[in-house]
Amino acid sequence: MGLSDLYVALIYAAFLMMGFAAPFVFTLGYMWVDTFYPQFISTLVGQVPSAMIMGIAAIAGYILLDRRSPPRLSFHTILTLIFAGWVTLTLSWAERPDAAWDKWEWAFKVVVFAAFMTVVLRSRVHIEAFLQVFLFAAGVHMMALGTKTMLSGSGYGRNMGIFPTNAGLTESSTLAAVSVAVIPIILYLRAHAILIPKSRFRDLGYLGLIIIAIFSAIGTYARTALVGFLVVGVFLWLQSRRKILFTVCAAALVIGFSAITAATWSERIDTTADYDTEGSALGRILVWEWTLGYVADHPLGGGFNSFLVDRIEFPTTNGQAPLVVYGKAFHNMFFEVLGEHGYPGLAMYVTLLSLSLWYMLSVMRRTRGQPHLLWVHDLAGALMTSLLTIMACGCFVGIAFQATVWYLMTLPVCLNGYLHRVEQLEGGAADQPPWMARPVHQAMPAAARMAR
Amino acid sequence: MINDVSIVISTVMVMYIVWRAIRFDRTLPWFETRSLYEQAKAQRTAAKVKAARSRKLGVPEELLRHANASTDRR
Repeated sequence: MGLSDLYVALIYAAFLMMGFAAPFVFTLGYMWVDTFYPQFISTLVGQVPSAMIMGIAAIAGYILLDRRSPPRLSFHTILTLIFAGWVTLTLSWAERPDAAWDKWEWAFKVVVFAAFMTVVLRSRVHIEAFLQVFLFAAGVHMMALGTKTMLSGSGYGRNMGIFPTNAGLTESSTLAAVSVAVIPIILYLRAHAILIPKSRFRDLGYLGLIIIAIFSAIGTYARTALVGFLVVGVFLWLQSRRKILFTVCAAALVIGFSAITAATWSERIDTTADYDTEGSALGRILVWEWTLGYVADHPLGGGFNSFLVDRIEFPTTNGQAPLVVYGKAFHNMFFEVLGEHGYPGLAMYVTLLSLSLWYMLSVMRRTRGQPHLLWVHDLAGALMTSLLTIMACGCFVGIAFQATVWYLMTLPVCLNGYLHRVEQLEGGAADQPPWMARPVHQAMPAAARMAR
Repeated sequence: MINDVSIVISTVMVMYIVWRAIRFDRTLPWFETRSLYEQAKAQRTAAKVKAARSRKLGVPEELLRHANASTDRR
């Protein structure tokens, strides 16, 4: 047992202990376990069902100790729970039941936890703590790969991440998508964070994290990153208050990064346009075609991991026998849901995503020109950009049930819930529903405010 | 080495944030309305004036005006 084993086990134990001081910390702890993967670093944590313990603590902590100002149940949350039920139901007609159960085991938890988040994260501190813990937990993967890429230039096919595994955030395309998608959130935190005191050090730290995130995305050699960069660039430009300065900085960054990235990266990215000759891209198009044909016969989907039954035939031009591949993954989050959970599943999934985007647009409209809600306005913009980025990346990667996608889908619900409460409080006690009559925290003392 | 440093930075920041979140969860208002915001802003300005006076520095006229206006409103 090494020192890191013990160290990471202590951090895990600290989450459990601090949860008794403030029960929402259990929820942060569950998300940390799901993002940082302490079980892969510490054999001590690996010996216990770490996620299950933290999950039970989070639910019990909320029900028994943390019922202050419970939020209204949103349509988004209800639909999320219905979706969780539907993906469970599709197990009964799964093409490959064993493989379907394997994926259901983690995917179901992701969906249910997303619904749970909407009742736990209520205040600004809760929402920001969630964002910060997620950022630094995901940061462990980005820092390791990003730093190595900066020092060595990376290399296609070399596993330079923190773990030699290929799942979750350790999978290159997923890490690339997440690295790019967190950039708007880092920019938001740089401007509005309250949990880290404002200082030049904080500014530099967040800017450093952005550079690390960019290098991490580049270091994966995933072409998904290029799509992500384009989307995040366009939406950040649209939201920017200083468009000319943003354009100049973005141009300088693009020129700088293209000068220092290895030639192999450019070669790899250039293959993005060769969709009809490049094996990986053509394979994706073929598997999407297969999915459309499959759901024409099976409109309710084929259960989790239904791609295992596909048969993809790569055409050849030189008269040779076509190359046949079995069990090619969907490589697209929408086709993934369609193939696994049919048209009803896809309709629910797209509705959830659309609702999240609509919430953010609504929040941005309602908070315009209000100084006390400036942070809400900017966070809505950042979350919308991040969600759109991950959706764009998700068109080329099967990340429909990755936790990060669900966090980005659910945080808008929490933010919308926060704004709803503020509006009700400002509207006067007469319009308040019974739960609002419960005492909320008084204004903090001036000294505490100054400490920010 | 890089992996270990990444783990340490990540976990230290996470613990710091959780500690601050627990503290602020108890001291900050959960839902900050305009009146709470303006009240806190006035307190902040008054504290700045007080701090400047205690350091025997010249208090900018604008700050004094703002502080007086905030006090009058209350």
